[in-house]
Amino acid sequence: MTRISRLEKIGNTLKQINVGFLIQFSVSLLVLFMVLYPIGWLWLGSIRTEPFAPDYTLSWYLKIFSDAVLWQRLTNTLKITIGTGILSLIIGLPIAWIVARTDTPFSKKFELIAVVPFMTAPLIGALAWTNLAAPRTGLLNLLYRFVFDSSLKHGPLNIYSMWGIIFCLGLYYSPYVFLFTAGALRSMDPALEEASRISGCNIIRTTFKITLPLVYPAITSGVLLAMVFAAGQFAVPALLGTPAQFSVMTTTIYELMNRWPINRSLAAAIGNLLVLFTFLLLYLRGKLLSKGAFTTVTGKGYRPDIIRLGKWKYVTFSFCLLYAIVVFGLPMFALIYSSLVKYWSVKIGLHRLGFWNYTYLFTEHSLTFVAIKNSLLLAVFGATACIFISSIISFIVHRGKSRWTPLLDYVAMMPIGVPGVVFAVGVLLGWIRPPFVLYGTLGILIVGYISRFNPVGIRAVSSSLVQVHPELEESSRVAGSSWAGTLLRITLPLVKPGMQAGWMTLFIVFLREFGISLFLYSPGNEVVSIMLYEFWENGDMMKASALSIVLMVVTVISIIIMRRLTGADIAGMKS
Amino acid sequence: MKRKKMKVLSAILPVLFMLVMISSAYAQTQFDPKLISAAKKEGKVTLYNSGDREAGEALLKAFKAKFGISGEQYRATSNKVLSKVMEEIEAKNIYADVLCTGSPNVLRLSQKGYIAKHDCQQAKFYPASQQTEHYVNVTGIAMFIMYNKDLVSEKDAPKEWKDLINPKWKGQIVMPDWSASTSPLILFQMFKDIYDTEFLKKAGEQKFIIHKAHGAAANAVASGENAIAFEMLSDRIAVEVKKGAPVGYSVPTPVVFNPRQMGITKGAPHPNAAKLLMEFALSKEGQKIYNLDYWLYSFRSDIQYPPEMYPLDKIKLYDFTPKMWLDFTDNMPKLIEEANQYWLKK
Amino acid sequence: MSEIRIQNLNKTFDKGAVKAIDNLSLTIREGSIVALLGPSGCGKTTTLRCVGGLELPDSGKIFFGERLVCCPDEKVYVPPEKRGLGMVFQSYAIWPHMNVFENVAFPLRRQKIDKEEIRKKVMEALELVGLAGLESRYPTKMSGGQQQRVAFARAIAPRPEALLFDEPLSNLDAKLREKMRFDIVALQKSTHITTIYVTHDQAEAMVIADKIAVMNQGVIEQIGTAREIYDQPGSRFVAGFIGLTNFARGRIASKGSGQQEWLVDSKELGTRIVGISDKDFKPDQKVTLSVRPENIMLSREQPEGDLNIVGGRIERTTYIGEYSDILIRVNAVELRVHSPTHLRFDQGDHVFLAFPPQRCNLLAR
Repeated sequence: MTRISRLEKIGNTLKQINVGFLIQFSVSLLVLFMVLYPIGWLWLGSIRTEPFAPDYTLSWYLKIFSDAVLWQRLTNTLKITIGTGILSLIIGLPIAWIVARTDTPFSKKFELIAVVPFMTAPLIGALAWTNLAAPRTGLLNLLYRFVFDSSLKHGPLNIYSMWGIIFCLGLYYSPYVFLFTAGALRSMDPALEEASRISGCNIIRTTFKITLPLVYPAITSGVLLAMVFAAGQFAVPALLGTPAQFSVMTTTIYELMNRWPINRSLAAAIGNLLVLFTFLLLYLRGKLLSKGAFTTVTGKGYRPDIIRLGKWKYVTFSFCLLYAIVVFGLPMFALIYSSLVKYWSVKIGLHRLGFWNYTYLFTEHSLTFVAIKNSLLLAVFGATACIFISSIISFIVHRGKSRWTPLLDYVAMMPIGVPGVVFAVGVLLGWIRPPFVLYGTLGILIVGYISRFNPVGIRAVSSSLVQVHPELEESSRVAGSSWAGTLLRITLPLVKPGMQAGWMTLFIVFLREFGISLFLYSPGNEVVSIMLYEFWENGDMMKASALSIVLMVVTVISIIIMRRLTGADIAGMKS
Repeated sequence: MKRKKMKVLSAILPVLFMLVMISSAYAQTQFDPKLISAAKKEGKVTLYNSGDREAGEALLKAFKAKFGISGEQYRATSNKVLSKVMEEIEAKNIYADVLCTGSPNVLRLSQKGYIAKHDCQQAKFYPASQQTEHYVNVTGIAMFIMYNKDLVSEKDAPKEWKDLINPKWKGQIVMPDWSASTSPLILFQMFKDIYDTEFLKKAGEQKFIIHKAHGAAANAVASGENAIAFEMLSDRIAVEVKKGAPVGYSVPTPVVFNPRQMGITKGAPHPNAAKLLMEFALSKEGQKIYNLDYWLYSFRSDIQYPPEMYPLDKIKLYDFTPKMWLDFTDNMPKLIEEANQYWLKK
Repeated sequence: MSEIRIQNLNKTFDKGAVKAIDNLSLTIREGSIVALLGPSGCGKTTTLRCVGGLELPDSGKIFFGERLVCCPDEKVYVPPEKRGLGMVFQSYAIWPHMNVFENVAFPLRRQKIDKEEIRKKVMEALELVGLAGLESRYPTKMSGGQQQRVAFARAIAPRPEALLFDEPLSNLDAKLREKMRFDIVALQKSTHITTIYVTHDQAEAMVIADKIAVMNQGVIEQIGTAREIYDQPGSRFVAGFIGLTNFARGRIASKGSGQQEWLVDSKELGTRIVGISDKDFKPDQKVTLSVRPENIMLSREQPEGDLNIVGGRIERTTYIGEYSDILIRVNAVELRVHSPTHLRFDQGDHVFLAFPPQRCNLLAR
C-alpha cells in the first residue's frame, strides 16, 4: 500500500514538473543568478582587502569618508545629480505643458525631439558639446566673440566644468520629465481643472493650484529618474570633467580600475555607495508613486482643455524651437562640421573641409568594421536573447501564483538602479575567475548587457501583458490547450507588440552601450562606443565625430529596417 | 674596347657598391627561419600597445606583409594595458602576446613573474642598460614642450622647464593625467630630483588642465583650446605637425626619455609569433616603422634619423639609471599621491 | 439667481465637420431646474459647457438675467471663473490633493470674504449634503456617493448664479443613484438656484426636472414637463427615446369628431384608428401612430364598438412581476403590450386589442 501511494506521489510530482514549469524555473534561476552574482561580488569585494583575498576589512568604506579627495568626489556626484534634476525640471516641465496643453504651433512635432536622447549615446552628446562650447575653440564661443566681443580670448561658455556636465545631463535627461509629465497632463481628468475655473480661478491660478499639484507625482518621478541616471553617468563627466579636474564617483571607479595600483575593492566600495544612493532615489520614487496615486475616475473622455495662448503662442513656440535647436540642431551641426574638418582650429577654414575622417575610418582604421560588426552582433543577439528572458520573467511575475514571484520581480528589476560602470565592476569580478570564466569573450559583454538591461525588456513586455486579461488564457486552458500551447497561440500573439517594442529599445540601447563595454571588452571585441572613447582619449575628436555620425546612420537604418519588418515602435517613442 | 669597358665598369661600380651597401644593411636583419615557420604555424599575434594606434597598426601591417602573419592590436594608456593584462592573468585567459608600454609597466609585470624571457637576437644592438632578460626598451619617447603657434609666438614660447612656473601661463597649461600615464609622473620625479619642492608647489599654482591621455592633451593644444602642453611626447607632436596643425615645440634641458618597454607575456597564446614580432620591432626596419616615422628615438646606435626630427645629438638627456627606474617603479603609488597633493586643485 | 437664456446657439467640432449644437434656443426660468435629456452625442453636454464657459460656441448668445456672458459675434466671452456658477461633473472632479474642507472652501476663497465666513459657509454646505464632520477627510478615501456629495457642496457653497450638472449620477450604482435623485431635488428646492441638469437617463430627468428638454442631433426636439413629454411626445424620436412605444404607419383619413382627434387608416394594423394630435394634418398625409404598451387593453372577448379595436395572435408572453410583457402579431406588425398580471394569456391565444383614442399619438412623418 505505502509503496503504491509513494509511487503515485512521485508520478503526480512528475506530472506537475512539465515543460512549462521547467522553463519558468530555469529562467528564473538564471536571472536571479545573473543579477545577484555580480552584485554579491561587489559587496564581497568591497569588504576584503582585495576582492579575491579572504581578509575582511571595512577600511575601504572608512577611507571614502576620511579621504578628502574621495569625499569631494562624493559630493561632486551629489552636486551634478541635484543640478541635473533641477535643470531637467526647468526644461522638461514647460515643454510638457506646452505640448500637452497649449495650441502652440507644431507642438506635436516637438515631441519627437524627446526621442533624440534615446537614439544617441550620452558620449556623443558630450562630444558634440565640446565642439560647441569648449572655452576657446567651441563654435558657439567663436561665434559670440566674433559678433560681440573679439577682445575676449575665451568663453563666455565653458563646457569643461561642473556646469557644463549639469547642462549636458540636464538636456539629455529632460525628456524623462517631459514624457512623464506630458503623459500625466494628457490622462488627467480635464474636469478637475474645469471645476477650478468654474470655482472662480483663472487659467494661471488653476495651473498652479490644481494642475501642477496634481501632476506633481509624475513630475517628481521623472526628475528622480533623471537624477538616478545622472548619478550613474560616466561618459559625460569623463569627457567634460577631466580637464577641469572635476571627478565624480563613476569616473573615480574607472580610474581605480585602470591605473596602477589597481584598487578594485575601493572601486567596489564606491560603487556600492553609489548604488545605495540611486536606490534611495528609486525608493523615494516608488513611495511617491504608490502613495500619491492621484488617479481619478475619468470622465467621458473630453479632450483636455487646450489653452489658447493668443500672441503668447509665439513665445512658447520659440521656447520649443530653442529646445529643439539646443538638444538636436546644434549638436548635429557640430558633429557634422567636426567630422568634416581635418583638424580643429580657431580659424574656420573651408579648405580644411573634406571626407578625410570618413576615408580614414573606412579605409585605414582596421577596427571600424570589426566594431560595427560587433555592435550589431551584440545588439541583434543580445536583444533577442534578452527579450526572450524578459518575456518569461514578465509572464511569471504577472501570472505566477508562487509567493516567490514578488522577489523575482524585485531582483530582476534591480539592475535598473545600478549604474553601468558599477554593474560592470561586479560582472568583471564575477566572471573573471573560475568557475565562471567568460572574461575576454563577447559572451561577457552579452551577459553584462542582458543582466543589466533585462528590466527594460520586462517593462516593455509587462505593459502589453497587463492589458491581456488572464481570462483569455484561462479560456484557452479550459478549451484543452496546454500551458505551452496557450503561451504560443494566445499569449504570445497578444503581447507581440510589447515584445517588439522591447526588442527595438534593447537593440538601440545595446548598439550604443558604453558603461559596461568599457570595462569588459578585449581586443577583437571592441564595440563602436569603445572606439569612440578611444578616439576621444587619443585626441581624435574629428574622427570621433565622424564615427558618431556613422553610428547614428547605422542606428537609423536599423530602425527603419526593423520597422519595415515588424511595424514595431520603440517603447516610449509612441506619443 | 677595354677602356670603354673600364669606363662602363667605373660607372657601374659605385652603383653596385651602393647596392651591396644597402643590401648588407638589410642583411643584418636576418630572422631565424625556424622561428618564422613556427610563428607562421601560430598564424596570429596580439600586440598590447600604449603608443599611438597608427604606429602599432603600421608595425603590424608591415609584419603581415613580411611574414604573412596577421596581428591584432589593443591600444590603451599604459596603466590600462597593465590592468588589462593583470585581469587576463587572473582569468587565466591570456590574449596578450607582445606588450609594449611606457615604463615601467613591463618591468613591473616581470617583477611579478608574468613576463617570459625574450631571448631576442636583435637585442644585441641595444645597450645593456636598456634591456633585461625580460624586456627591451624598444623606443625612447622624448618629452618636449608643445605650444600652439596661434596663441604663443615662437619668441614667447616656453623654452625650459622652469618656464612652467611663469605666472603668465596660469590656466593655460595642459598636463596629461599622471594617474593614467607614467610620462608626467616621470617628469614629476625629475623635477623632484633637479628642483626643490618650491618649484613643484609653484607649478601646482598654474592650475593645470588635465586630459586623460596625451592624445587628448595634444589635441587641446593643436586646436587652440589651450596654449601649452608641458610634457608632450614627441610622437604626438609629430602627429599634429603632420596634420598641419599650428603647433611648435621646444626642447628643454635636460630632456627625459620615457623608454617604451617591450616584452612577451608568460603563457602568451602565440609565443613564437610574439617573439618574431619583437625581433621585427627591434630590427632596423621595425624601428623605422614604429619609431622614426613618428618622431620617436631609438636606443640602437646604428640608426640614421630623418632630417625633420630634432637631432638626437643636440638633446641633453637626463640619465635615468636602471636603479632609478626600479625605485621609481616601487614608489609610483606614493608619487601619484604626492603629485596629487602638489598639482590637484584644492 | 437669475434666468438663463440661450439664443440661437451654434457649435461645430473638427472645423465644422461635426455639428454639435444646431441653432438652439432655450430659456431656464429663475429658480427652476431644466434637464437636457438625450442620447450621447446629442449636444446636451456641449450646450451645458457653453453655458459654463468651458466651450466657446460658434455663434449665438447666452444671457444670465440681463447680463450677456457669451456672444462670439460681439466678441463677448466671459470666462468661466467670472460667470459665478457652480458645476457638478460626471467624474466628481474632486481635487485629490485637498481634503473635503479645502475642496468646498476653494470657490469661496476667490470671493472676498473672511476666514470665519468661509468656514461657516463650508460647514453649512456640508451640513446640507449630509457630510458634516467629514471635513478633514481626503476624498480619495471616500466612497463614490460621498465624493459626489462633496462635489455638490462645493458647487452650492458660494451660492452661485446657477448650478450646472453634467450627468452627476452616472458613475453611481443603481440604488444610490435613485436616492441621490431625490436629494438633488430637495437641495435645489431649498436653495432655489437656477439649474441645468444634463442626463441621458429619462427616469432621472423625470424625477429631477421641472421641465425636460429632449435633445437630438443638436436640436431640442421637445420641451415640456415629464408628463407632457411622455404622454404627448412631439416627434417619433421623443416617443421612441422616452419609454417604450409601439409604432404603426398610416394615412390621415379625415378630421375626427373630438378636439384634436383624427381618423387614420393604417394598412399595417389593417384598421381605422382614432388618434390625437395638436398638429393640423391634411387628408392623406402620412403619419405614424404611437401608442405605449401599457395603454393597450387586452381582452379575449371582442369589446363593444368597432373603432380602435383589432384582433391579434399572441407570439410570446413574459412575466415581469409588475406586469406581463406580451408580444402580439397584429396584421403586418408586432405590438408589445404591458398587461396586468391577473389576466392570464398564453402563446397562440387570439386576443383583441383596444387603443384608447386619447392615448394614440399621431406624429407627422
